[in-house]
Amino acid sequence: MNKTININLGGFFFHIDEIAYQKLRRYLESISRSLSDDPQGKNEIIADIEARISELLSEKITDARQVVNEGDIDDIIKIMGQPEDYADAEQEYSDSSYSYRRNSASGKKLFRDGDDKFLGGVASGVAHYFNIDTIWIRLGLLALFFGAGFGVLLYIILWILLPEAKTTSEKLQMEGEPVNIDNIEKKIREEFSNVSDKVSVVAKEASEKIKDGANEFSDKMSKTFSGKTKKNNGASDFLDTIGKIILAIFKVIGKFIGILIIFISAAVILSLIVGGFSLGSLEWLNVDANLQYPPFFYDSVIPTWALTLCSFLLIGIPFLLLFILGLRILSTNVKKLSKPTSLTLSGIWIVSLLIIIFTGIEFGTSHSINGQSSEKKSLNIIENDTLNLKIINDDEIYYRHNLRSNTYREEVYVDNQQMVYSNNVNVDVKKSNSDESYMIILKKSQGKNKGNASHNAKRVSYNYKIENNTIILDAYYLSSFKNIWKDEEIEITIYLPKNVSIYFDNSTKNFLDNVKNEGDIRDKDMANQHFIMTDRTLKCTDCEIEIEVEENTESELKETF
Amino acid sequence: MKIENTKAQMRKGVLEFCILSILKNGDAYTSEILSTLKSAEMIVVEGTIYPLLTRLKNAGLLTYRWEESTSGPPRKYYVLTENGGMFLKELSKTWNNLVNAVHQVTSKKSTTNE
Repeated sequence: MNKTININLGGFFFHIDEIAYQKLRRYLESISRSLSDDPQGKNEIIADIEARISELLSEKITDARQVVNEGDIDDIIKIMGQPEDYADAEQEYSDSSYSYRRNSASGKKLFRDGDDKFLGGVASGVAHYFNIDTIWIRLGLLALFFGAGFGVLLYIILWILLPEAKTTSEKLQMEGEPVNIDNIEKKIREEFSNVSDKVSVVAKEASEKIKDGANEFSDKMSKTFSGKTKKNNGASDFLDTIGKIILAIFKVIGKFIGILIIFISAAVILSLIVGGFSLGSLEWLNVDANLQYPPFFYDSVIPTWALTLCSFLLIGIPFLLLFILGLRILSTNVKKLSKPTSLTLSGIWIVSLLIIIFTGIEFGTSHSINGQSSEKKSLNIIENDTLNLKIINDDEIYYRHNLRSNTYREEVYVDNQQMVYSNNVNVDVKKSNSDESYMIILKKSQGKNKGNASHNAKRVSYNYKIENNTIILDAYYLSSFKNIWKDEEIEITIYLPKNVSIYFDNSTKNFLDNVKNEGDIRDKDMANQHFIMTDRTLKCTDCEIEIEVEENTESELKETF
Repeated sequence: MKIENTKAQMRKGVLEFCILSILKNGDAYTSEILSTLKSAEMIVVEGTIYPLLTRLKNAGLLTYRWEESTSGPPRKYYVLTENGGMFLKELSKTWNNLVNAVHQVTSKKSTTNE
């Protein structure tokens, strides 16, 4: 459904729909712009042209009630020719005639050359402009492409922004005259008058729009207060001026925002492409670059590359749309994305979003339930024996440790397999309920359900050795790499019956976890000491003096304060 | 160098001459001039004619009068002025010379080619 407008064109009356009207108006305006500056001749030519158009239209429109539509105007333009053709006709006579025309200074213009194209004819257009061979421009673009990936973007921007040289005059203008100082000066002058033309046209459009609005408003007002019908001209003039100013400001700000949007989105897209490429190639070449993916990448049914792609699309597509929006702000040449394209893009975006959400939920659930697996090992220790406890690390697997229990997880390679290494190992000693000595190794992990969690716990690899009366525990556990974000832990509890002694080697110092003993000696101070299991708990056999000394020094310190 | 460009330039050069010639045979209004030129394939799009007519009018080679039409508003009929007639004579002389010259040049070329 379209609004129709009644117009008087060359003495004929036409119903014309709004779109067709705008098109016709623009056509006449651009003809008038492309004609010489002699105002009288110009008006006459326009009047003649209008008369001719009305003639052509009345041939088409036989029924008075029929409405002129866009197609009719297109046909008219086809018959009458592009605005450039009018200018062309004038140009011929400019030297012999009386008036100076800016179009006679046929400065070069940048067009795409549709006759000599590889993709869009951008390179050949640019080559025409600089008067050099096309191959150099193509090579330059290729170099830019392989150098920084910038060439592609540049090409696409130029492709969209540059019009293709279609008419004769455009082609002539594209090839143009050689570049010399004189022509450059002309060109600059021409560009300047172009800009001022554009500004005045914009201002005119704006004022018309505002006037329309004002008219409508006043119409409504006059309908409601049916007494007053006369419009206030002074007010609408004032509105015109304000409108012009506001629109000009908005136009400038709009262009600026457009440029900003283009830059930002181009930067994001470029960095995504570059990042994606380098990430992909690193992965592919198996380079250990210490990549840090988001947590949910690790333990997922969806492969890492697919997740990377999804995140890429999830961020990239909105920025691509922004990029196009920016281009559209800058140039009216840029068309809206076609419906299928935008539907496909949004479809892909939604799928990526769903996949990422899915893995997010998967991540959440895969950590939701704690599970454990325990192993009981009998110790061949009887009354009055002394058990030695040591903890060692395998420096071949990971050397940057300081033999201390902590929750950090590191990425290591064992037999070329990516694994998680952690020192999250804690040791406790308790009273055995029987005469038997034994050790319980408890592995803890997480999973999406009880079974899965305890399965994961079972898969945690932890080793120890028992040599005579010495237990040698590993300072670390290994787990498969996908579990790097899971809280896994090894808890070792040694159960000793009464009258069995234990000696904590210095290496155990930072792994003991709240070992209960008489005198509440701190875990750190228990290393290098002998303890014996009493009725209830451990008792130190050789550290009393030292501890007293320590206490003395502490009290002395207190006194000095 | 594109063939279309050259062709267009050639046609354009004699367009003025053609318009004046049409008017020599009697007054005509724009649509008549256009249909004659179009059927002779002298012009492709109609728009080119208007600046040209105005220019010729401003140079005093033609003038126009308004004539009532049975269907619609009055029409502009172009008339050749006295000046225009002289101008046309000059032009046709030049044209004949040009045709001869071109013929001479092209036929000479073809004989040497043979």
